[in-house]
Amino acid sequence: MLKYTIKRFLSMILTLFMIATLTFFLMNAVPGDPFSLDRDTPKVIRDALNQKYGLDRPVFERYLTYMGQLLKGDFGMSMRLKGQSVVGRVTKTMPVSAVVGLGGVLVGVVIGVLFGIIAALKNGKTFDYFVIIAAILGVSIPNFVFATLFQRLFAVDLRWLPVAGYKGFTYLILPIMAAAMQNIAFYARMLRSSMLDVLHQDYILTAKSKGLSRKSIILKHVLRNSLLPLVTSFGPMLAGVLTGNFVIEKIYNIPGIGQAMIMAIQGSDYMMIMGLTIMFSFITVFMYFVVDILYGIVDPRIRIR
Amino acid sequence: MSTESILRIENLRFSFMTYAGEIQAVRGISLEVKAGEVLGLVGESGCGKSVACKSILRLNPEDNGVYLPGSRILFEGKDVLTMSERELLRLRANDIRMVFQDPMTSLNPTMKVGKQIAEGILNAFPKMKRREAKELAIETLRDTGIPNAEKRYEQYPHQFSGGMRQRAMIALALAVKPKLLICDEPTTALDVTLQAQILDMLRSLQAKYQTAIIFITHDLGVVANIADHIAVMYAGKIMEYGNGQDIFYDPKHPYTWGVLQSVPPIDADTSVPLVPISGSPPDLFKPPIGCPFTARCPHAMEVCRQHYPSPQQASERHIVTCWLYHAYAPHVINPITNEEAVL
Amino acid sequence: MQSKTTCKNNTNITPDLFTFIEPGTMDADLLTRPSLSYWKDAMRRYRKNKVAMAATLILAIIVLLAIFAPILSPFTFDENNWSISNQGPTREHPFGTDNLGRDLWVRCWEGARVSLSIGVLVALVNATLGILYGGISGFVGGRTDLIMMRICEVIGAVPQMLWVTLLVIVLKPGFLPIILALSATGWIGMARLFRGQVFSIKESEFVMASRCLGTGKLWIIFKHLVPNAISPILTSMAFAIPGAIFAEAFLSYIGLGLPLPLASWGNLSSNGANVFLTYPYQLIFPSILICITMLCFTLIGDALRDALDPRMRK
Repeated sequence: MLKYTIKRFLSMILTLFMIATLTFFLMNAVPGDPFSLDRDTPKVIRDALNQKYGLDRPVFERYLTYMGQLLKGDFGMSMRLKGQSVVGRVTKTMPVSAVVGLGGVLVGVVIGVLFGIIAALKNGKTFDYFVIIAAILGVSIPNFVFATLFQRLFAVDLRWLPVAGYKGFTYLILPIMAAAMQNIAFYARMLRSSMLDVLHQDYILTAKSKGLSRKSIILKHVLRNSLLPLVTSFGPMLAGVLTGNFVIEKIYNIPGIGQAMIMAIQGSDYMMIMGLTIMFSFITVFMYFVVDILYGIVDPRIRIR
Repeated sequence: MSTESILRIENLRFSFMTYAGEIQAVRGISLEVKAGEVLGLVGESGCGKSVACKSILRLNPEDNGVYLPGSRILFEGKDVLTMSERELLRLRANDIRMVFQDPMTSLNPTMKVGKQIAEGILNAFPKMKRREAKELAIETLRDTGIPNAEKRYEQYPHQFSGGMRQRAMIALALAVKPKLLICDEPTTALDVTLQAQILDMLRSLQAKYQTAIIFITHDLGVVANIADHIAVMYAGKIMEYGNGQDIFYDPKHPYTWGVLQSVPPIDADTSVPLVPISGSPPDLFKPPIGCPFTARCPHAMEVCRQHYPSPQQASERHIVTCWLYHAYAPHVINPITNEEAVL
Repeated sequence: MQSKTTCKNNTNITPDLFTFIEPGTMDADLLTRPSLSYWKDAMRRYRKNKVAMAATLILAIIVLLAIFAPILSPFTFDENNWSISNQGPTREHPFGTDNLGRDLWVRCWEGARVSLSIGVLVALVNATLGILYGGISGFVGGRTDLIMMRICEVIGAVPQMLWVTLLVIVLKPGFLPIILALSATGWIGMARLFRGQVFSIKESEFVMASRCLGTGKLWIIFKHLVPNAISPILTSMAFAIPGAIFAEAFLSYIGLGLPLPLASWGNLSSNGANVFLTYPYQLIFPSILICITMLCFTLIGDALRDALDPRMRK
């Protein structure tokens, strides 16, 4: 297990390095310098700005400097927001995004898993069909549709909850619900099929032949095995926590990391885009790493290898 | 040996209902197992032997499968097919246990092997303490020939080899000292040397635990040494039933002849060629009205095609279902005894 | 030995029935069901799936409207008319008009053209790239395979939308850049899938067997690869199309969509979202179209998977 963890960790470091490199050169391939957008800025000032951000030096030299900065945990300074570092911006916006994202995941997983389990147990009955239809609808309807729909219904028409902004917990209920919808659908579908799969395994027949009641077969044998694939999906899902909610943050005007990214894109704040992208990727890769290790703990078959 | 019969199957018929129609898996079989007896159930794959045995525990899927009216499975006089859910669970927990074909998939991969055995013990004897159940599980594991049983108790199925897993499966079944043990091709997935070991172990445990066994296999050789009686199944029906002596040295049914001629005997005389049975078994969507073996039988007659023969008794417990023993039937030579075929 | 017994209960058993049947007159093979070819069987199952057939029909209608609605309408998608801006649905403008008085019926179907083209093109490019990459990796194997899969892993480790966003920033928003950006990352899944197929066939016993017989290895693999790989490829393409349509909409929402006056479902609904509280119809129509299309593709993908998966064959 320790050997596996170390191997996985080293491969993570390599992946991080390659991502940082790729992102850096991609951003440097953007035609023109970021300050050329503002036509009224005098050339002298633009040159000064370019010099300040080191844009006048050769690409490779800048790359080395940037990588060195990354090693020290410095992701650079914003080119638009005075005195704001990428790291500072992330630490300020990240908690808000995390609440929305993780809330959406939590609500989605809990409700989805419950729905999936009940559907599998009532296979072929009305509730099963309800879950199948709801899950397909949930997967097919984009989250921005849910977001605007909920906003209209619960905030504008019913006036139960605030329309947009972020001034307290009640402001987060609608975004979390909107973020949860696709997760609910996804997990209901996944749990239903993995549970049906497990129910047809030979070892369930063994359990049945031992005279175990349906209840204890499901509690002791079916659930654990059908929840296993869930763990593998946590990696991609947690990765999606941040990027997946760009649109929701925008619709509900929530000052999260997605909003920061959109602002950076619209303001051509290249340093910020690059920093945020690398930061996002690092978080994602790290999550995959954690999930892999976690999976080894949950599934004894992987632990041994 | 006691003569008291613990299991009587009467006219068991089971069908699967599929979108394409009814598959008649078991088409009216009657069998009897006496306490402490070993019954071998032999037939090629798809002949319904597994389904028949799963019926005894009602383990066949009942959402798309149905026991046809008239079927009765009497265990100690009580019909399994009309049992309440509670009685059925008790029956599975204490009285009849089953070992399945594939040891690789029959154990829960995420639960310790010992715990799976102890779970079965505690389910059978709810008053037993956890520690006692664990001790009993370890003892049974040792009985089935697993070394380091205490250590093995704490391991997961993937840490067991195939043979070890099948031993664990047998321990799981035998730990509660059931009155009847059903083994569904327990050695088919294992290699030959392991097969012999498992069979030896089963035989000695059968003596120790005084359990009746139904042993399902497609290989007559496997049951030769272990079974008191053998039933030969074909296309959902029993063709011939008798003791080992009857089946191996004086078989009456042409299908049994065919099976015996197609396997090499241990003392193989290389000058006697093996004779395969040509053709394939009938489609159980539309089984023939007459004898299902007609199409492949070297002695098929017009009557075989039109009517199903009634069982004929050669001796008290040697029964054959074939038209060749009808008064009108022509004389044929039994290729095993090389004498004229008579009852 | 006892003598033969007589069956007296069966009166219709007559001696003449006891004649041997000529060997070969009863063909055992006649009793087996006719086997259906793989594709016929798959088609039969697909057609039997009523939901999938309905989805196919609806999708066909959407495609037809996308082709003909802009041609048949008296308006064009980029024609401004300030006098009728932000008008709700009328007989003349069934989907209403936008802030510049452009007809939303035409713009929605023009958007359908763009969005569906993006979806189909991206799915095609992904499949081609993925099959090429996965094929090379799988066929060559060894160190090449290791490196190629390592590259896949690095690209796949970053959320796809992040790469897409980055690429669209570099390439500047537009129809082709969006397709390029979506294709640049979408092929990884297909590459992995196809490489897996190549490997499983390379290592299968029939390839071993035919190599022993001296048949060309490549040819054998290829011969078995096509029927084995085609169903997962088709299924994953069916899911890739709605994925690309959704991705395009995502880009529109974060300000990297197709520049106006061009229309796509993404920029129509993101523009509609901006005025949703005052003119809800501007969001509702494109959103409904996106939802129906995504739903159809999901259902078709599900049905394809069920129909093509040989393990489902009973």
